[in-house]
Amino acid sequence: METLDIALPKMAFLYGLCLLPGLMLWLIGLRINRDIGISILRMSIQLTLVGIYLKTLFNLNNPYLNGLWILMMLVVADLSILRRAGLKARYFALATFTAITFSILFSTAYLVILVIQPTHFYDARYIVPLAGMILGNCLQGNVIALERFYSAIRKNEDEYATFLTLGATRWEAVRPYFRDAIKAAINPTIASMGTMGLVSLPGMMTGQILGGSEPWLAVKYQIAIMLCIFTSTTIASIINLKLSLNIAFNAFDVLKDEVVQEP
Amino acid sequence: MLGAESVREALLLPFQYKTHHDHRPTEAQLIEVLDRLQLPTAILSRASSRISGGEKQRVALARGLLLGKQLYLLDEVTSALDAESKRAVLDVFSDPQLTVLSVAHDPEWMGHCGIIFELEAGQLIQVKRNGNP
Repeated sequence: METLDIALPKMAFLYGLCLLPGLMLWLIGLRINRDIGISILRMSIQLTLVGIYLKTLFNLNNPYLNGLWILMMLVVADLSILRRAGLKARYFALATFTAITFSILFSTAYLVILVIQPTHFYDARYIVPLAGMILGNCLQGNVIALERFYSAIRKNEDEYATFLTLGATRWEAVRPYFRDAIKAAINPTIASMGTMGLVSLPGMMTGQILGGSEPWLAVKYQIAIMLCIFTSTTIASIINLKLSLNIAFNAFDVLKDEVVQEP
Repeated sequence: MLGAESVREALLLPFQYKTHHDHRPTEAQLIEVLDRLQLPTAILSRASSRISGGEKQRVALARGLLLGKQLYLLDEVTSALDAESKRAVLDVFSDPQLTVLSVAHDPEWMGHCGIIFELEAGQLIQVKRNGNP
C-alpha cells in the first residue's frame, strides 16, 4: 500500500490552513503572526534540507557517513542540553557528551543489532531515524535533570549547607535533589507510556501507518522505541548528573558560581 | 534550617550519614537531651515547620549535642529564647568539657564566657577575661 503523495501545488495550498488561526490571533490582538511566519519558514527550509540530506544518506548508506551524522546529532544535542539547562558548555560539554553518547549507542545498538537485525547494522533507514528519535527524547530528559538539580541546589543553599555541616558527604548531601531531578526527568516518559494509545496515537506509529505499514508492525516498533527512550533517558540523566558533580563543586563541596550561565 | 519534616527526623538526620551512622542515639538519649534544653518529649512528633523560633534554635542545639562534639560555634544562640530556655542553654554550655566559640550581644551569655573579644566596626577594641570560664 503506497502512501499518497502531496504534490507541490497542494503543499502550497496546505500553508493556507494557517491563515485562519493567523486571522483569529490578529483579531484577539495577539501580534505574533510575524514570529509564526518565521517559524513556519524555518521549519520548511530546515525540513527540506534534512529531506535532501536523508535522501543522500539513504542512497549512499555508508557506515562512516551514517556515523558522522549521528556524531553531529550528539554534538548538537550536547550543546543544546547545556544551553537550555543554564550551564556553561566549557565545563560540562565532555560529561554530557559522554553520558548521552553511551546511552544512545547502548539503546540504539540493543534495538538495531540484537532486536531488529537488519542485513547491515549501520543501515541508515533504521539507525538514523531510531537514534534521532531516542536522542530527541533523551535531550528533553537531560535538560530537565540538570536544570532541576542545579536550580534546587541554588534555591536550597542553606538546607544543602546544613546537610554538609551535619557530616554528610557531597553525595549524601545532594542525594535528595539528585533523586528529585531524575524523577522529574523520567516522569514525562513514564506518563507518556502509561497513557499511550488512550490519549493519543503516538507519532512514530502514525507515521508508519501512513507510510503503509501494518498497524501491528507499527505497534511493535512504537513499543520498541518507547522502551529505548525510557532506557536511554534514565541512563543518560543519571550518568550526566553524576559526572557533573565532579565539575560543579569545589573542594569544600560548594557549588562553583562560574559553572552556571548568567541569567 | 532543620532540613527534615519532623523534629525526630531533624534530630536523627546526621545519623543517616556514614560519618555518624554507628552513633545513632537511643530514644532515652533523645529524651534526655530534649529535657536538658527544656523541650517536651511530644515535640519529637511535631512538624519542624510548625515549631517556634526558640524551639527551632534549641532543637538545632540538641542535634549538635547528640553528635557529642567538644567544640561548638554558636551565633546569637540566645536571641530567640525566653528567660527559662536561656537558663537551660547556659547550663548545658557551661559544661567545662565543652569549648564554645560564640558571637553574642546578650550580656547574660557573655557573663558566662571565659574570654570576650569586643569588636566595633570590625576592629578588636578590647579583650576581657571572666573569672569563671
